[in-house]
Amino acid sequence: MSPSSEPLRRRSFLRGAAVGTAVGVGALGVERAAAAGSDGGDTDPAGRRIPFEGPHQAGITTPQQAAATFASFDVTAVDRAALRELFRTLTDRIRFLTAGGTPPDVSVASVPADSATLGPDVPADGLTVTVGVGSSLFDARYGLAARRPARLKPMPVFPNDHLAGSTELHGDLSIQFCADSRDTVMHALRDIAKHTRSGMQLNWKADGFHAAPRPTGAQRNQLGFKDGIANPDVATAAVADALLWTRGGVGGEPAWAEGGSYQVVRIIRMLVEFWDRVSLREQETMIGRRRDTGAPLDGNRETDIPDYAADPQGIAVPMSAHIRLANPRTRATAAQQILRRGYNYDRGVDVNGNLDVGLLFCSYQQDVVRQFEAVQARLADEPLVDYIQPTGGGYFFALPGVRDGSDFLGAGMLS
Amino acid sequence: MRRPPLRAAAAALTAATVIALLGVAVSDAADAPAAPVITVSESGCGAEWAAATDGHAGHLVLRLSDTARDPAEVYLIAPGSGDVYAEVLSLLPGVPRTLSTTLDGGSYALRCVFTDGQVRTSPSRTLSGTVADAVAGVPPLPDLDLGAPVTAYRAYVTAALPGLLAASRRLDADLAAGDLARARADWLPAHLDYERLGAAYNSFGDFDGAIDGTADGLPGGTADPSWTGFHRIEYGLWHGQGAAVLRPLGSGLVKDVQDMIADFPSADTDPGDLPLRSHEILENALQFQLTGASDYGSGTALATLQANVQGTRAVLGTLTALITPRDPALLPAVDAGLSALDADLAACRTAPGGPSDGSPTDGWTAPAALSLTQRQWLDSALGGLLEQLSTVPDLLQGRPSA
Repeated sequence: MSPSSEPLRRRSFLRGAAVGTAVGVGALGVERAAAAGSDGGDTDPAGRRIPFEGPHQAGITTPQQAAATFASFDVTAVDRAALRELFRTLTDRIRFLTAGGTPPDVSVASVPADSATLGPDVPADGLTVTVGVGSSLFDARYGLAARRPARLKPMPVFPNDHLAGSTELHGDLSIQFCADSRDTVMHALRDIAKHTRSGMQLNWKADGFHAAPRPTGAQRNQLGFKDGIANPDVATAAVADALLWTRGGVGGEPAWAEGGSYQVVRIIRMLVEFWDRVSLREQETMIGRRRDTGAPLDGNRETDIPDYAADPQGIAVPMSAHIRLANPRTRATAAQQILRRGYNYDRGVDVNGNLDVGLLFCSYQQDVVRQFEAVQARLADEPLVDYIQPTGGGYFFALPGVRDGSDFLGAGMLS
Repeated sequence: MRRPPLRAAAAALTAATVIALLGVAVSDAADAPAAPVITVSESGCGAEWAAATDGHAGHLVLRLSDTARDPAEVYLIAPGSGDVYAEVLSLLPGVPRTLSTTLDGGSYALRCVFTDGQVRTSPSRTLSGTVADAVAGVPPLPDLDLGAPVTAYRAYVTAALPGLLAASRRLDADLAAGDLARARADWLPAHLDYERLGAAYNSFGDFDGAIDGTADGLPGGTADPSWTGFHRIEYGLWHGQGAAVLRPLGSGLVKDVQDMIADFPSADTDPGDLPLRSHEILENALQFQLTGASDYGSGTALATLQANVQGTRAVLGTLTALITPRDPALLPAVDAGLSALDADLAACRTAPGGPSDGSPTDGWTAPAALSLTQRQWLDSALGGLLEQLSTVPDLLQGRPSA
């Protein structure tokens, strides 16, 4: 079971303070909490609890929670042993935070174990914390070069990117925080940063929100269009195995990569003032869907599948429409589908007084080259690029899941 | 930040009548609201808790009520050693408080220390069994035990003050002579002499503001006529201000240092300040130096940070005899952290091969010129160290032994 006393012995990251262990997990409504994916009506203050352990990390196929933060960290662990401690500490904290519970009592010589921003008892609140590694972690520092996932590399600059001067690129680690409430996301980030200060440093972060269906169906992005309609059905194991999860020893992947997934994060600003001055017909032509219903331009409902074979000249859905380029729905491109898990963002004002809002694009895929880059290549110079500006992000590899109480994130990578 | 003395604050409250229920609670947090009330009064200190017989190791919630006339501090102790496992530092009459902790099996008692000087201790009570996450006891610390560290710290400051005065006079003489190049070279050693003293949060009273204040909070900002001291002179020296402007600031600095030296023998050092300073000096350094917020042009904030490390070492050095028996692993870990920070700072010094390149900024990299990697290593070393140091004030909180 959970090595609950271990953090008290391992003090390399926060010696002296009671590095929290879940004292009251199980006693505080955890067993009452709903399973992952359940919807509203749950008034338990502890919120729903999404299981942390499993063959894959939570937060990938988990239906999207309302609030997210994508954070990039650079590792400052002094050596391989300290890196291992970092991943153990991360695992311990994520295990506690996603389960919820009462922070441990501490000695009179210690500062409080928890910030209490969520009250004296930490609710699970649908929290998932998903950890990925960037290609820079496999440089010379920790002797991991031979362990690098086969397709992991720095995110390249794509033709329509606006990355010059960006301070929001890449990172040794990616941590995706998602929860049912904004404050739960913030609490988790703060807790993890406190417990890992000597092992990693926050490089950049971007906060997102998941919009409610307006009025039904997929969330709308800030262009006003429904987004994420055509996600593959990863609840079906065969689909997930074909599109999402890496296989250890297959396609050149190291054995430890079994059950992981490539994560692409891209901060894509939307020039909404410009967009709002564009005619509806032009907007719909660029996207390929009706703005009101989300239906493809050759269909009636958002769930209708566009029939491109019947429209080879692009009369109904133009050949340059975003949805047609992104997913041509051919046998040849079926294996290129990605799981999108993006969030809207809203974070301030530019020098012209225009809003800095847009999409925190996040996708998971088995092979970042075969899938994301193939889609991205088709989208190069699409008409929509005049209205969007990718300004940051990175490629990461979401680690395999934590199997049990003795396992930890990255154990296979570091073994 | 300064924390007000609890006993003084508590004494202002009037007594109130509380009908207290007797009882004991050994429960988990979910049941805490139902915990019976344990009474602290003129006639006893939680005797009803000690009298209960069915105690087990584990999470414990005590609801305490003071029915005496005076406020009290209540400690949950091991009667043999006096080690403290939990505490309520200001239990006011009529304001019940909850005390929560996790105890291993063993013998425990409550000790009540009233503001009128009365001390009452309950009979001891034995808890059976063991629990994995029990908190550690902390040996008591009578207020008088901080007397020796205060004496040692004052001796450290006293020994350093003549150097500060001499360095300030050199800077003043440069300004008086109109030799601004030399003033720029002599500014840093004088400033570092001050920063090594281990000041934090105006620990030298108004003198700290006069000698080392920044322009923050001044209505006129950097143009405010009331701004004086090292940073004001730094601003002038690195922003092209002439000797005529800076000359009075040099003589003012010397006078303020002289006044501080004259005042120091009679100025009190609150014993509780020393444990606070052991982490606040570097908290300030993170906030004002590593950010560059206190850099008014010289680009030497990292040199200040290094001087603050020395000041922290000096403060911790006076507390060694108190810290080590209470947490033997703490100081070695902190020492390692301080050394790692020193090494990271040294790596950010651009002087080729030596500690000084002879320039006014002595080879230090300005915070704004740090690479991302350099900054992250400094932030990591300093941040990790501060998490460790955060335990010192609570570890060395005054706790009466009897």
